[in-house]
Amino acid sequence: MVILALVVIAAAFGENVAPHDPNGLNLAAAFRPPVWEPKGEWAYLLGTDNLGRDILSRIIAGARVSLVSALYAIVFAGAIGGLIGMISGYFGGVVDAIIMRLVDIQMSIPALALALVIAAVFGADFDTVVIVIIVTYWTWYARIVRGEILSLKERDYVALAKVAGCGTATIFFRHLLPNIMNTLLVLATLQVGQVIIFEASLSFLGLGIQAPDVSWGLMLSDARNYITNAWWAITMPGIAIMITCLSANMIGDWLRDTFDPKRRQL
Amino acid sequence: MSRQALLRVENLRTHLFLKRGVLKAVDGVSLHVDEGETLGLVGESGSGKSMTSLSIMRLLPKQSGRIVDGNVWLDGTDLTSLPEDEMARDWRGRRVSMVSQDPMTSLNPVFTVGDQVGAPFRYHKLAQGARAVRDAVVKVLSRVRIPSPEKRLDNYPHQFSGGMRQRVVSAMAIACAPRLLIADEPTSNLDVTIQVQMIELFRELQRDSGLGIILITHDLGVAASICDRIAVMYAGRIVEVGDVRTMYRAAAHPYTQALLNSIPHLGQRKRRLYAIAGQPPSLIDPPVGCRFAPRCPRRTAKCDADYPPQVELAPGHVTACWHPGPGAVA
Amino acid sequence: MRLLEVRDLKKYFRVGGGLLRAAGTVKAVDGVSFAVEEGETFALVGESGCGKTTIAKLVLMLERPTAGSILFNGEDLASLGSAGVKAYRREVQTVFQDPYASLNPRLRVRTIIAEPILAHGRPERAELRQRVEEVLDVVGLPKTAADLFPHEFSGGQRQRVAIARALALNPRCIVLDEPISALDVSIRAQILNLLADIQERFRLTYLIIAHDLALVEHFSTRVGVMYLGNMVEAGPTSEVFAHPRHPYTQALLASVPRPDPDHRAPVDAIRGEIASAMAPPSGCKFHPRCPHARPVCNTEFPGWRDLGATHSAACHLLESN
Repeated sequence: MVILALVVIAAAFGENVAPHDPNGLNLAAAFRPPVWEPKGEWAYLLGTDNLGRDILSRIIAGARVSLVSALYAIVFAGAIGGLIGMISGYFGGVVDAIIMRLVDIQMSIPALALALVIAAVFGADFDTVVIVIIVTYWTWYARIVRGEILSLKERDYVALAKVAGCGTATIFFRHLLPNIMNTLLVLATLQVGQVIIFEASLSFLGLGIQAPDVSWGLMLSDARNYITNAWWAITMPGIAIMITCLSANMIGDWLRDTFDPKRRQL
Repeated sequence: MSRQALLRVENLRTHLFLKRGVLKAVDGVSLHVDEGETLGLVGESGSGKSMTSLSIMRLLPKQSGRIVDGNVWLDGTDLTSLPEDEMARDWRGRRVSMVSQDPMTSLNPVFTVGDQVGAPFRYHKLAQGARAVRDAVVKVLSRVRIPSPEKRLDNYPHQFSGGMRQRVVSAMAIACAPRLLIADEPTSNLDVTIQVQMIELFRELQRDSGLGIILITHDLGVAASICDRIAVMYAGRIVEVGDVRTMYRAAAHPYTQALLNSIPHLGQRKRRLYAIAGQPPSLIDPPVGCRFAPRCPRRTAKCDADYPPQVELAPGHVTACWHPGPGAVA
Repeated sequence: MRLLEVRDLKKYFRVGGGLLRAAGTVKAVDGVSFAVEEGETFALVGESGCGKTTIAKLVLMLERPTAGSILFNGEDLASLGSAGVKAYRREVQTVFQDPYASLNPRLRVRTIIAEPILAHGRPERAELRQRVEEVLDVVGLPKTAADLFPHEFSGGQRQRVAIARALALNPRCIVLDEPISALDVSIRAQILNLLADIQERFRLTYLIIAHDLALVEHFSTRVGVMYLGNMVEAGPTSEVFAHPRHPYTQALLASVPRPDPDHRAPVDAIRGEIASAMAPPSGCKFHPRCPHARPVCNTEFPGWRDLGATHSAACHLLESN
């Protein structure tokens, strides 16, 4: 949790915290190792890359891109997927069958191949990354929400709301939505990690964020060529990705445990 | 009356240690069951009847439940003092076993019925080799009157109807010829026409083997048709115990009387039912005096001050009440 | 006056299979007719799988009938427009079996009781508040109960909340689906007496669904006995219980365990178990379990026999008079 908070702060106040300009070239200071290495300097805590850019500053700047894209994507994927899942589960029948076949089709298309196509059509930039992530991830929400709704709509109080004369909208927002919010929230948190990795791989492949914007995936991609003489340039952003994903997943697990009424007892 | 006491429970106290406090689920229960006898343990949910049986089986919830006092003597052995491995090896499922309310959760859907009924034989090493186990299973399934057991052996639980599933569960329970069978609401999920068949099955099993049975139920009709004696539990204690005829014809405790009068009985149409006011007390912080006092029509100052001692009104008919007497409650 | 009438009602469910083809059909309700007079308590009784709960759902418009019709006040429910449905919902309310499942755990009692009122109009706050407190008082709960959540109540109190909610719109008819069977024995009488009181006070019509014959005898004025989707016997409760004519009703009554140690239910009154509703027996659906079955029972479905002015049964062994 602390780690994720740090990442969020870094993303929000990136310019102010970062010791250097993330894009500031300083060829004289290229390939400085991290501070604990023999030739390291305090000025470049985690070292510099091939163009002498400070890695710590770039990680901090990349945090913003990674988090914002993950957040956007998850909110939209959750809202779209959740709504579609609710409709599918609640109305059932033909609507449900069609939506679920769509989900199946979507899930059988490799996400990276889809990303290639979208990037080819719209060009590779921040929006493309977000769109690709939404298109890939909404199916998760649709499936899980549909399952929840299938069991929720059989609850007696939902039947009673119908008998009382409540409209579909009332039933959706008063009786169904509050009961799936927990699930949505937990799923969203667990996906933060996955989405960050996905964004990194897109950028790594050159399908996502383009320079001069900084993202963790892009840093990996840039540093790949110098892996033999500057291991830190590729390792540091890798570690940043790993730690962020890990902490997001841990928060997700924790949320799931707290929201699960069965585990709250005793 | 040459019957021997098979089970003797003495002053059993079982507490559940919860976040909210210590729940005194069973608070000083003494009872006995003779060989070949059926004792009905009647009470509402939360009265401690199921906790009493779980204490006898030593199957209390691991984190929270503990027997804090009392003894459970079965055939002269105190089950409360046995180490867990001995309890599991020689007693539980072997000499004392249990049938629970829901036959579907007692059976694993991915194993065949023959596998599951055979498990106690294998575990307790009562039959060696696949052939012998199979024969033993066929025998026990035919004892619970399952038609063509040789064929049904290889079926899965979902291929059985509710009544047949309850028979399978009963077969598992009597597989090792136990001395004592605890039946927790064995018929309450079944339709009445199936209920009759189960009641008959229990009677037959008992006639054949001298099995002692504790029947836990809230249904006074079911209790009347199988039990020899009835013990009525309220808020963690037994308030009245006696021979089945005495209990139904001359109950002395106002709670027993109220229970009998508060449910509609077939063929006795009444304008209004006798309703017991209020709710059962909290078992975390039970009243000092008689626990039924707040809901009792015969309540006096004495009832609130002290818990009533047990009075023997007739041989075997014992009640804990300051004002016992025939049906003043109606 | 006939308030509710059910005519040749059928509800079939498809089970399994894919989008276009079903693996089988369950005839949950297969041609049931009965009428409920205003102010009476009509009971549908039978064992699990007999279709009584499906009828309740059809009457509550939670399911659509496959065939047949339901008439309320002489009007066919199928012909109602959305305004008509809304009006019908004002008149017919329900209390379900399990008060733990029927109250949304996230809402306060006030919201739960106000929900039906708000679905039908926008009353002033004070008016709404007063109505909620009024119905709480009717069911014997204090005003303060309105601000609590369902989990702060015991089972019996929750059922009172459920009854209060059903009363909120001042309906004419309440469908009671096993209203006491989930409650503790010592609480059941309180709730039954309460239901009897409010029926008298508000001149309510009850349609009660139950499996407990003793309860039905105590509580209802007329009864319909159901078996595997059909009604097999119907008539005034006192008459059906005193002189059951259909072999199934007889067997059912004989099987009920009684709180009398000297009563022994006859084991041979009924054989075997209820057949699957997916493959019901031919002819009379009860014939494989019937102690009096004849060849004709296997081949022909029995029609109704009038056994008196209001008592009738569907059995080949009986003669109309």
